[in-house]
Amino acid sequence: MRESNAKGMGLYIHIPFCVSKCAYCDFLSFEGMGRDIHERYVRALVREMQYTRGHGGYCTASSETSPPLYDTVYIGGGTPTALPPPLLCAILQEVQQFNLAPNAEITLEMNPSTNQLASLASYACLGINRLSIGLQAWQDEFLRGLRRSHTSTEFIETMQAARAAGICNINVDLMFGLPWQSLWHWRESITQVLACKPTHISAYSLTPAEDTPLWDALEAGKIKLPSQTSDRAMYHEAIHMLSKAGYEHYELSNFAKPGYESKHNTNCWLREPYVGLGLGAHSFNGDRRWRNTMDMGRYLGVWGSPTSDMTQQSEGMAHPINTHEDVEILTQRDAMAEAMFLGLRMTKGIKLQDFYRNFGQQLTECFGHELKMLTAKGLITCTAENIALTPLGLDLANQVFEAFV
Amino acid sequence: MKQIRNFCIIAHIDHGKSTLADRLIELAGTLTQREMQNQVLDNMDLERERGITIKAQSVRLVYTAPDGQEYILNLIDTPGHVDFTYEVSRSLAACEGALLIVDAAQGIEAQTLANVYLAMDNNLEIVPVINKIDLIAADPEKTKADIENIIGLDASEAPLISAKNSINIPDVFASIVDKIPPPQGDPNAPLKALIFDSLYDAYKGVIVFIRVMDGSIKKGTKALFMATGKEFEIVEVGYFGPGKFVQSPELKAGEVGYITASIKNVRDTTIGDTITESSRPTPEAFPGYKHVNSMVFCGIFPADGAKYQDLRDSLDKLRLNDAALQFEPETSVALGFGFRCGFLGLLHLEIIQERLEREYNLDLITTAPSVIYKVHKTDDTMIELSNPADLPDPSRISFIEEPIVKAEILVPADYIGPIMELCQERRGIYLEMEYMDASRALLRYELPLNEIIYDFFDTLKSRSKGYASFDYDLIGYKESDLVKLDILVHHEPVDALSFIVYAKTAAERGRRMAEKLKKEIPRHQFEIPIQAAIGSKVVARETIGALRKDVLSKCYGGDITRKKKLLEKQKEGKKRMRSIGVVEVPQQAFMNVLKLDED
Repeated sequence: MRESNAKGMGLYIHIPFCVSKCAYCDFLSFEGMGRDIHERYVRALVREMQYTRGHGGYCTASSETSPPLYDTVYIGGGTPTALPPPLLCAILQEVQQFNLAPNAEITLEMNPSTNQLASLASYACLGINRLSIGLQAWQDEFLRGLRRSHTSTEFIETMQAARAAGICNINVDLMFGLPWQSLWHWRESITQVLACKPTHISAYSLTPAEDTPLWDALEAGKIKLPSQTSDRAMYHEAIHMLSKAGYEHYELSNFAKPGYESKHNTNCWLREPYVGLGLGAHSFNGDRRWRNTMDMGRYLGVWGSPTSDMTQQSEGMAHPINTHEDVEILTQRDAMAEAMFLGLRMTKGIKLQDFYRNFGQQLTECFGHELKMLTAKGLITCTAENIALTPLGLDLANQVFEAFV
Repeated sequence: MKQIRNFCIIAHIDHGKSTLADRLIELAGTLTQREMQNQVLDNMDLERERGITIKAQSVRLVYTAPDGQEYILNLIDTPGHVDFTYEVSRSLAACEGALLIVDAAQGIEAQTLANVYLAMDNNLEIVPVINKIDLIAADPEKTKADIENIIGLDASEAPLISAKNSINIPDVFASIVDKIPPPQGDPNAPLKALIFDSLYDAYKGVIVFIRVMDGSIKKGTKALFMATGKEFEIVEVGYFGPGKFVQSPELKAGEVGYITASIKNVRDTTIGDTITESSRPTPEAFPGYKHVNSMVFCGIFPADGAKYQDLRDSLDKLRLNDAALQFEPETSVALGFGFRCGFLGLLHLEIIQERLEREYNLDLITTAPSVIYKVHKTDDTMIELSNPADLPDPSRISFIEEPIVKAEILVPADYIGPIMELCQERRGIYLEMEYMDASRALLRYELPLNEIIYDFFDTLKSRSKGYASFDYDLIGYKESDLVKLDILVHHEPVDALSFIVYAKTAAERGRRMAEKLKKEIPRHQFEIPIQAAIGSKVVARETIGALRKDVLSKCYGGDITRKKKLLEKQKEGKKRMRSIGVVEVPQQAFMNVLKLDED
């Protein structure tokens, strides 16, 4: 058995649907789709899951050997809970067919308002043991401004329902640097969320993306983002408040109670392999990265049509089917760059001996010049064991990352 | 000699000079339609694109008159821009006559006038030709009246033609033969030939374009170039076939053609020089020879420092064909190694810059154009300064003189106000205004050259909706209140951005430059002050705030490839920056800051 299998890998399932699109969203997701397309999509997705399972999860060269072990599953989107419960259950049942580790972390992403609170117990029965709830802001006026379709009251209800369903490992997403948001608003959001006692909190600085309503409004001068200085004040405040409340700041934007760090995401930053299924989902097998097609028509055509039925495929196995695009084969140099800019996202940094174990070269030899320059700028610290971002480096992380690409 | 006519064509840009030349070549029957590369005379890509002629080209035509007489017509092409006035004057000196092409719809322009006066100074017979008569807006009668009123030429017999559509072209031939006098000269006198242009050829060396006035020249002639004092043995003589050189046994008095003599350096063949025989020299060289001096200077630097040698090689190659281009190595703290280059004028500068970029694939950074200032120092010495960076300390300067031009601006009556305003803004001294007719006036202004070398022409065009035209002549130097404006980035002076400016407008210029620069330089980890200073006095300041945040706050499994590309792009951008002290400045900032456009 390969080492990567022994350690387990990640499984990501993408649900490209939302009840409505948020103002800042540039993710691959469609709003207001009908039941018909939901059903066709889930049918196709289930087929892709079955096919992948039958082909060693794409991840090992020799698919004949024992199936890979999955120790994390993440069902994200979009909003997975935008699907009707029976369809989501069908996916969760299919997930259960994978070779899951006994203690696998299985996360479901959801928004507070999806009227699925009654179904949470079923999801828990089907293996969901972690929720990631997109709250973003406490104040309803900000939620409306971001075109979020929920209120903070609904958030409280969701938290209660989750616990009632037996799911206690809960992440809450928050955003700062919102138009008109003050430090006071931000503190209130954090305080209120802390009162709900989630195990994990993600705090993101709002990053406007092109071709979103938010971007257009900014371009038109209708709204204004807080200055870089205010944005950082909010970030520093989050670090301060959350640390004080017992959350470890373990990644640039992530905070967790001890032992509750997101395994799925941590594996990404450590460059552990994962397979992504569903429209536009990304995969990584250690040597290469690829993305599933983003074309819904093509996806449904390949996975949803009877011609691509498993039985037919199994007859002529010469050409395994897939909807992979943008395959990127990583050189050693690419892999090292990734290891740097992903590894340094985590506050404990990169262990020199891990780097040596992975690449057979000393980090300090590969990037000696960069380390010296970044240390001089006060962006990183280097010890005999590891390198990590300084507090200044957390604010200017890209200045550090770009040195290694 | 009676069957020879030597002539040139005077026309404003796009009044149809090249097109008419093509028609003449076509009709004279020396080229088939297929051989015509549309516009034979303008053979550089750039010339064709800009629709102007940079290098004079010439062609010999054989014209058979209706009475059966054969004539040899030498068309000597002239460059058509103010920067090349001297070259034009030498081309004119090689002719007995000039066709004056006037656009029947647009009438006479300032530049045309300037060249007509040049032609008159050279005692040329001027034959008006009215072109574009097939345009709807054409008004041939008014154009004729214009020619008579403004220039004082009889236009009653001017051919009315359309070069584009080949209307009445034979009338042009008839006019050339009838109106332009045949050359005069003594074939037996000592050789006396005028150099009016030259071209570098990799195999033959410099090809010298000449007009023989007296005597004859052939292979083996020991020739003396009187101004440079160089002697050469002639290797080849010939005339200008359409698009090619055609060898002939000799060139005699009255003829136009070329010679080669294994001349390696185009500088040995200066335009306007007189060629004679070493053994039997002509007693007197042609008058009017001038050493051409650069009027406009700027620093040209390779964007990629490693391309310095490529830039040098390219400039060397361009100089082979362009005696007016000067350059010498220059080192800038901000831009590294490059060259200080001298040009006849701004158009010349632009052409060289474009050719370097286009033909030699170089990515360049050019600094603010400068003129030559005469800096009188307190120790009673004077230096000619073309690089603002070399200006001595103000305490050692007694006074500074700057070059002054006399500008003639031909402007439709509706735009007189805005154009006069423009000239005032540029420190112009009003001399006079002359109404050419009811709708157009000729404005004469004295203007400092440094006020027109940057964007004057563009501004003139934009404020007159493209109708005003302009010509200038250097008339001398004048004492002026000039100061050096320095730009400091994070307290480091940026030598490439220093320039000399009129004291009263310096603060305003400095303020605008600082504002622009603020937009060009990305935030750094620290605050960056940008200052404009005259000596030690800061006249403007802007501050670029410190970079507080540069972070991708989300990066999960689906983001890695995309985020990596983002980081690579950000890093790539930094490679194209120049360090000024601890500050990284994007290359385009140097150019963009100089664009003080109309705002």
